[in-house]
Amino acid sequence: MHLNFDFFSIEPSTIIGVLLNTLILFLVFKHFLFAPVNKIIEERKAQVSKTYEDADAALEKAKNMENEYSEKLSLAKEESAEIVKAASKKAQQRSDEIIAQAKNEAQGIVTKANADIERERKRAVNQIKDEISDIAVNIAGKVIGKEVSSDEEQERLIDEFIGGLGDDE
Amino acid sequence: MAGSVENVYSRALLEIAAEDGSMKELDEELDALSGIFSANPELTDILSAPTVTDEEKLSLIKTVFEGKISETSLNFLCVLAEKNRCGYLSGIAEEFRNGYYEAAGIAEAVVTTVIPLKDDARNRLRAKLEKKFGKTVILKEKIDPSIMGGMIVSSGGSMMDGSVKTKLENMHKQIKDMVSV
Repeated sequence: MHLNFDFFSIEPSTIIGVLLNTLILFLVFKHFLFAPVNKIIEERKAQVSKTYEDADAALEKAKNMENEYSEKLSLAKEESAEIVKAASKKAQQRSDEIIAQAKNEAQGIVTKANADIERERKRAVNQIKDEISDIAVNIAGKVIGKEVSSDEEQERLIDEFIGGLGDDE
Repeated sequence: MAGSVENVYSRALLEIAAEDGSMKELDEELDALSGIFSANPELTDILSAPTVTDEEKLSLIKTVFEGKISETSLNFLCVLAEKNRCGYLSGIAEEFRNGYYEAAGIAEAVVTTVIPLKDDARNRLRAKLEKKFGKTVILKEKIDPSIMGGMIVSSGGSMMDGSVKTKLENMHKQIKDMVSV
């Protein structure tokens, strides 16, 4: 069948020719254009994907570091808290010690002072009593001396002593 | 405390005296000689002087003492003079007395009083002490007004103090002890 239109005609040879042309063109394009473009696209894709991977890795690394730092920080905080606690405990102990020592010393001073006072008081009292007893015995000695000054009294004392000899056996 | 020289001589004399039974006499003579030498220190000086010869010393001793003391005492003096040991005489006499008293069972008691003892008191005291010590007692009497009254008897290491002075001192001590705080 053959259709003929002035403006339109369908010629199977032409159709085949066109199809061949198109095929050849496609093959040429495919060989010279598609492949390089595809290669560029692939390369680009790979680049982008690598960039993303890098970014993910960096992010991961950053997260790890953050974790690490926060861990270290908390450790450091704990450590410093501990140091402060220990230092304040030590300071408290030291201050307790100093206070206790001071109290002891003060107590010792007071005790010694009291003992000194008591000793001095006793010494003074004893001195006075000694003096009184000295005077008393001195007077007694004088009185007795007068009383025993006679020969009769002396003989009486001697007789008394001789009489008492041997009594203790 | 007598030294070894006194001991040696006194022991030798005691042995001699024990043999011829002249302890009492020898004791009295030694006591008298000791008194003479103490009262005349120049006697000791001459008998110890190195410039005086032994013959002169012996001659001096014989002139002074011969016939007045026993032969034992005279010989003893001569030995002392020869050995230049007249200075030890009083110590030797003392040691001799100790040995004699010990051998004869005699105890010497020193009696201190303010007034001299009367015979009656002396006899009673001696009797009491002899009973107490179980020995013959020879009393050595001393007068010491400072004891104020009563009597102190000391013999060997023991002492019986009945003096007014000691009683006063004891009283003084007691008062002090009593009032001490």
